[in-house]
Amino acid sequence: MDFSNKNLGVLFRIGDETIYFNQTHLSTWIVMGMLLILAVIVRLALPRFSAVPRGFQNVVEALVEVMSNFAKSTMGERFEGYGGIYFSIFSFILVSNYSGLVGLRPPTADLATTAALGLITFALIQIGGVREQRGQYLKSFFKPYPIFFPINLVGELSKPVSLAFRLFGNMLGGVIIVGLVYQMLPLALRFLLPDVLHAYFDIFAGALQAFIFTVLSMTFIRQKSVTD
Amino acid sequence: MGAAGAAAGLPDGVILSLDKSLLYNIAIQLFNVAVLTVALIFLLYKPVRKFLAERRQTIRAELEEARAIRDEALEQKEQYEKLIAGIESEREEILRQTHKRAMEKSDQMLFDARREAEVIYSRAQAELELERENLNDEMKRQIIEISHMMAGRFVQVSMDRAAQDRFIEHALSEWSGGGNDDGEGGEGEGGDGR
Repeated sequence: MDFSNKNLGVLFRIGDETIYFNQTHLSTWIVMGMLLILAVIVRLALPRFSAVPRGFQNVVEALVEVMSNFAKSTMGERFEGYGGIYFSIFSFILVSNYSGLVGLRPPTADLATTAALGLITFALIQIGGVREQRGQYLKSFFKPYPIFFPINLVGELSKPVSLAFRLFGNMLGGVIIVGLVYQMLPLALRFLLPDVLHAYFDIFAGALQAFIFTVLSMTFIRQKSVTD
Repeated sequence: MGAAGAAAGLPDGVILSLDKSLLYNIAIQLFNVAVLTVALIFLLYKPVRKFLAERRQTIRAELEEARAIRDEALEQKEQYEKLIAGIESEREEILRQTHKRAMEKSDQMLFDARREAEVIYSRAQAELELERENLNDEMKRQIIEISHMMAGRFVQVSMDRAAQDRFIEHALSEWSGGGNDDGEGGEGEGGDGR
């Protein structure tokens, strides 16, 4: 059984280091392509959107409205701008997690993807904290006493790490378990039995992990952006 | 190396590698996610939100307009109700005035009729009185004439014409002078004449 992220070609070389084009890159670009096509379709259809939504328009409006309201309720009115960022990240994680259903290797089953997402959240936390608290933000690392600085620093750095490894571990676990089950079953049974596992590991856990990542990110940003 | 990778001369893939290639892959994925995020925000999220905000604004404006129209309609209704109430009271006032005027006219007519009736009655009384006096006179005259005729027949045998005239004149003057003395004078004269 091979659950590794297979290399499909050479992407580029930097010095003596060769970066390979792997399954994660392929899946990521397919997911990106799908989302971008959807976005272009919505953009083109937008002038024809009616005052009373129905069908496709209803779904698009609901997605945007839900994420916008969710960002407002979780982070507050002032952080409404983060709604767009986390709408995109949530969509990317969700579609990535569901990409396993069509035989792709989920991009979120690669630490590089989840670490990138964790770093984005880490950057937003720091930007939000500095913007809202100004000079008080750095002082917050020395509270309640200066001796707590190392603990506070580790606590801060652990946020993107925990976000990245949680998502990566869950999705890779799902990939491994479903892959093992496929290998265990005879060919005739592979069409029905793994559906239950797909329903859990891809559909349920996929949506749940996307939601958890988004909620935790928003909560971290909110925590660091509130003046003590 | 895997079969496909070996055929292409590529190294085997890994599940998790904490090396320099991970940093490059993180950078690639950061770029991918950043591009996707920016594209989704500007192609989908912001335009849809703008559309929603405009629609919300339109609905709010329409609601405001509807509210204003409703308020105006209520105000007009109130005015009409006041007007109707005014018309009702005016109608009652007119009716009251008309009734009052009719009553006054009726009283006036009744008063005039009563007064006219009194005039007619008093005139009739006066005429009746006059008639009665005339009748009295006539009756007296006839009585006198009858008396005269009776007396004439009576005295035809014992009194001449001059004595009769004197007697008549005397009787008439007695009647016109006072009713109570009539009998006494007449009896006296009659006695004398006899």
